[in-house]
Amino acid sequence: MGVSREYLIQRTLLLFAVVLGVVIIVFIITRIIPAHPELLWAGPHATLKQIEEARKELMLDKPIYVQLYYYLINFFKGNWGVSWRTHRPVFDDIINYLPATLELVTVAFIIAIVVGIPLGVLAAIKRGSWIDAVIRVLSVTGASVPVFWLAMIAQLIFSSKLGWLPGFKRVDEIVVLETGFRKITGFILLDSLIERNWAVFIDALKHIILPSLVLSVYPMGLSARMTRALMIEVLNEQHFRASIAWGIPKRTALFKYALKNVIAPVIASLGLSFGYTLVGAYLVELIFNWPGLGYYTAMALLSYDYPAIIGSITFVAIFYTVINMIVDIIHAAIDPRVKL
Amino acid sequence: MKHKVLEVNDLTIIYRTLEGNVHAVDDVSFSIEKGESLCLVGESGSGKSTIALAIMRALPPNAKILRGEIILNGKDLLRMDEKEFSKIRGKELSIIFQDPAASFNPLFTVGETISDVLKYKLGINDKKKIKEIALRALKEAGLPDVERVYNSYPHELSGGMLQRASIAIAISVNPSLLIADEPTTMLDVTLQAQILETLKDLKDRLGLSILFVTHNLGVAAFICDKTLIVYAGRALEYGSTEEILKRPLHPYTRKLLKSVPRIGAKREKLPFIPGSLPDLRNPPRGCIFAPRCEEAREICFKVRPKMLEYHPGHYVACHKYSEGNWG
Amino acid sequence: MMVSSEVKLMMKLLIKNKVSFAGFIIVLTFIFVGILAPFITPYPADARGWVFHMNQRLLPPSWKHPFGTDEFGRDMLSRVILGSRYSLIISVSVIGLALLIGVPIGLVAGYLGGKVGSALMRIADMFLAFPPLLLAVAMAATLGRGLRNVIISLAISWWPWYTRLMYVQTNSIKTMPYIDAAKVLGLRTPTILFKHILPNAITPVMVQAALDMGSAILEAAGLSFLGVGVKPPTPEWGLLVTEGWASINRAWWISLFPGLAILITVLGFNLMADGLREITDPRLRRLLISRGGRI
Repeated sequence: MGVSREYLIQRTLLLFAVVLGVVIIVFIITRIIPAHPELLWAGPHATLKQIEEARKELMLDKPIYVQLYYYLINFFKGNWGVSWRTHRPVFDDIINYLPATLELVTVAFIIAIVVGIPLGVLAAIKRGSWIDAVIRVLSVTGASVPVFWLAMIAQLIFSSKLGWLPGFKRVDEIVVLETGFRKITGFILLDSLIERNWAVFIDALKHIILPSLVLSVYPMGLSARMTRALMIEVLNEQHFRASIAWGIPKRTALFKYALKNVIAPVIASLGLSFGYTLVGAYLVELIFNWPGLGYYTAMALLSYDYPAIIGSITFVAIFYTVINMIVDIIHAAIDPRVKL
Repeated sequence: MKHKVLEVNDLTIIYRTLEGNVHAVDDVSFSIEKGESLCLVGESGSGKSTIALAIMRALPPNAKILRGEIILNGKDLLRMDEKEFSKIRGKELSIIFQDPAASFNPLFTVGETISDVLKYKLGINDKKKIKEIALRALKEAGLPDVERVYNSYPHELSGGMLQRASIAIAISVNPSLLIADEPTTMLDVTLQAQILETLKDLKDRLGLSILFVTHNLGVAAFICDKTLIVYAGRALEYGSTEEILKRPLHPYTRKLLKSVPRIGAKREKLPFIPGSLPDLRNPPRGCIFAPRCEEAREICFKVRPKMLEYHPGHYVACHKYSEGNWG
Repeated sequence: MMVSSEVKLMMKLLIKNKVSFAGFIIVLTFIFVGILAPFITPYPADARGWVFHMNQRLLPPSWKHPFGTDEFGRDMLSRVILGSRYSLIISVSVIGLALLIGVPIGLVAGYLGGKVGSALMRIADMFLAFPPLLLAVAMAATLGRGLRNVIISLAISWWPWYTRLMYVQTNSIKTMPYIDAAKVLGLRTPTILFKHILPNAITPVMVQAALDMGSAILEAAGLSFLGVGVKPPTPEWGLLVTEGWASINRAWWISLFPGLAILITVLGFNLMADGLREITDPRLRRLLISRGGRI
């Protein structure tokens, strides 16, 4: 383990600085760029009185730095405004909708890693062959496909036309009611396992297959491409050729030695793609009526629910920053050369 | 006659590149007897490393062996399938590379690498026994504090220590032939001498047969019984090292000898000879060295000289020494 | 001289790499169709979207309408063809604007270095802290729908990438002897920056920019789907897909073809990129990968 306490402290401080920066950028976008922030904040159907209230709440008559000060205070208190669509505090809404998104993204990533890395290794070993070409084109396709379109088509074919899989929501409400399933963590797959409620577990699994497969297309392609590129580099490294020349069998040299050099950077790049996948979830959730943060934001966008839009975007940006930090630390911990 | 460990006959290798075929090794032959060491001496780009890689069957994919045979202990390596060769690789045949720091996977300890080699090559599964053998080999290779080296990651060790560790790996399997591909070039001068000393000691004590690849005739003088001078993919002179140093025949060898630094000399420079290597995509018709040779005559540009035995056991490919051709 | 032989070598390698070459052909076709779009649409009025043909609504693909017709009876092929022009406009403008903002900042930050340089880079980092598209969504939600706002929103979230790239390039070039020579000669800083450093640093940035055009198309489509993109009836591909969503169970073709157009075009850019990336500096790529995309 190459991670020291000083490094962790330093990273946490940096994290705080980045979060501050993110909040300030959001402040600039929401308060300084629009001519009348109160109109956006109060929503399209607001009365004059509501607009006046919004003006007061945002303290638009005060100087900018005072506005920024109270903005930051409110932000760190979790006071992110009230959604006029749900009539609830935005922060509470976000916490409510978050588990569904995390569950979807987690399953998508598991699919991406389990399928993507072996495909990348295969392509690297068979580089130049038609297998390599097919894997390459497929993985680049993953990064080129408009994910909301793919979601529509997948839903149309596998749910509406063929009827193989459910195409909406996380779980069938009837199954939930019949079995007396109760939420614990908000992760339905996990909760149903804890309660040993197999009916709900299987139903939830069926529901998550289509959206998570669609969502996994991008990170799967990415991990396959990354694995291929890094693996080819490692195969050309002196130490790989040395391990072969010294008589370590090819299979061991590939899957024990070379793969270890590849795993850490692939995971790091997957960590980066986490942001992309999260955004993908925004689009996919809307198609599949998946009650997650993306669905929440998309509905907010479609109904001009400004506090909800800005709140959830800020939240996801911070979440993304935290994930990146964790990925960095994991990356450092895997590689004995990195001393941090 | 002694048992021949390695016999290379008429080896010819090309590289296929975007700009055409490069004739990297052209019709090279030599042999190594048991307990003997042979040096392949040449400048960079002379094809000496290509020969070593061909023996290890580790040529890059764009290389193609056109002709020849590589016979190790009576079996032709070039006519062997991958499965058969994988039994020989790292067992009868082992290697030390030029850059010790790049030879070890940075994410594994030296001990893990050695243990895996021993596990697969000696077929031992007992972890304690493997470690015992590994530690003994490390000690044999001249490393102090073997326990620490065993548990170290490559970046925690110096180049010299890593090179000793790779020597340990190579000798731990008792190979019939050890290939040393410029094993001291990347090290500083004092270390070079120490590593050579160790190799020489191992050769004498264990009766190792060594194929030594180097650009330095001084190194050859120190460690090799026989020497083969290669230039631009062709063998120019071949014989006992002593003979070649005392009575160099080929003009190229003489030039090389003049520009050779002694071991332990302060600075090591590549031998300097005016002109540059010929374009190996279109090698000249006659003697490959003719364009840079001060003594070249008309015939040198037209006819390719054959390898002839000038003295007993001392071969040279130069028209100067073939009667009738030289006026 | 050196540059042109470098380009020649890259072209040679690109042609050798069949998959990448196919991508190159797709990109050329896209640009060609985008420029010629108004002249090659079978039904120009349908393409622009201002006419309704209520008697030929939701017609499936046929010889007359190879991509079928939409909710308002408009020919989808015409709309998809004209859509290529909007995708081209969006991608070129977004990347151009992002370059215009990002390159000078990276150049100055890299040249000055020190506190000013790292302060500028930290600001760029703040922008990169947002997941892709999200910052653009926030901007677009604030500015409102429309082609111009889409371009501004995407460019605002895009420029820091070029700042980073430019910063790295400038940093490595500013220590070159010829820059020292220029300083000794007493050339003014702007002259050194724009005459001596910029031309030598810009090539990888431009290559990256050309390849990013595919991603810009994809993100613009995402904005349309979230309702913060271009305004109807602009035949932007993402909006066409979105418009077909409501009737997808009855008329799959409305969404299918514009989506395929996005897929194929972006695939073209990415296949080209994939090949080029392997061709160009593998060490830079290695560095990028090993540090998780952040230099």
